[in-house]
Amino acid sequence: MARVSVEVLPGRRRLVVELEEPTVAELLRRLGLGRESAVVARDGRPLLEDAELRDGDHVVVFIAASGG
Amino acid sequence: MSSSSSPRAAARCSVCGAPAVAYLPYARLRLCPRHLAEYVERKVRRVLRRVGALRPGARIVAAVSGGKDSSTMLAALAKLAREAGTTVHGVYLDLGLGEYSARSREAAEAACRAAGVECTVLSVKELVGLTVPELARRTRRPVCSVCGVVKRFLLNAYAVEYGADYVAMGHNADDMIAYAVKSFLSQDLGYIAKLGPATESVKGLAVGRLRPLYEVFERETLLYALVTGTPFLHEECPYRPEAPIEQEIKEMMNRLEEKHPGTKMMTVRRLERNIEAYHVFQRGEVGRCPACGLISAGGMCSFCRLTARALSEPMGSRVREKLRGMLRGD
Repeated sequence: MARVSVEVLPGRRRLVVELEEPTVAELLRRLGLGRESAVVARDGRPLLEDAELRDGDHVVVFIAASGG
Repeated sequence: MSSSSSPRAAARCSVCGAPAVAYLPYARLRLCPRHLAEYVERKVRRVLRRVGALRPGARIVAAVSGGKDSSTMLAALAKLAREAGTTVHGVYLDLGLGEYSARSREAAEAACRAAGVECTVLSVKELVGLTVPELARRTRRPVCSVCGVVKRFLLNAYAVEYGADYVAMGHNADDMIAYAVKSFLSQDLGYIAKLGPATESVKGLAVGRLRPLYEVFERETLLYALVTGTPFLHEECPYRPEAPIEQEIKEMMNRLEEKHPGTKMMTVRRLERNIEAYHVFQRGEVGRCPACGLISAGGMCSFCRLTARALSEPMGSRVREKLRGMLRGD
């Protein structure tokens, strides 16, 4: 279980997500995002889908798909 | 958890064994920052070589918006062009969209500095007398359609006056697929003919477009910008419609890609291979605008028509004169 603070770009939406299974894949699922359409970064460094998130982590979710 | 499925065992770069930051399912590659950047640059180099754009003495105007795609395009293009003796010059268009334009400009200039490329800022307000939203209000047309007309004209006019061989755009593979699918759905098949990695120049009228990111996916342009520290602004235009159809198509394609990795790469490669076949659907001759002398689909070009309606004078010719002055250093 981890509480992770998340910033979603574009849109600058900020939220705190509690994850039972603290992985990037789970965070994307919770945000309703597919693995092809977003990149999650911690301290500016992209994370693999199976990377573990820690309690108190701050991550940025960059949504890749933008309109033409 | 068994050792083979533990995240640690999987998180190594497929090339060098360093910690990986990204997994590309279609290529079955896990990559560290260095090899991710190299992978993207290799794709860009292949496309540029295929269309013959990387030649000594060639001049490329790169359209930079400050967003991830054009910043990544510029970073990779500038690096490869330097090795090949090709000149790259950045151009940022200030469309007059308030604070959004100010922040975009900052990012675009930072991206040019990081790439070691000169950057010219073209202000629509200074060149035309009105910002894009003002032009839209005066002509009662949607901001996005006015913006498209203004951007196409200014980039082309600048590239013509600069004597460029290409205008490089930030369109990525997902963009190209979305445009092609959208054109297919509306059966505008002639438009698909323009969706290759490079389009032809028409002497004196239009400078061909170059799409260095033709085989680079949107997610990869983001990853590249992050791992190379390329500056970019990840923000949406305030005038962007709620759900542009291109975005819906991208999301649909991404769901398909997640189930069938490799689908998008196959599509974009076959699109390029078959691009010639779509030329038979193109209608109309290439014309010359009687007002500004640049390309038109017949009669006055859309920029001159738009500005004539907003300012009771077609502005194409004046804008070209101002651009020539800028390039002379007046």
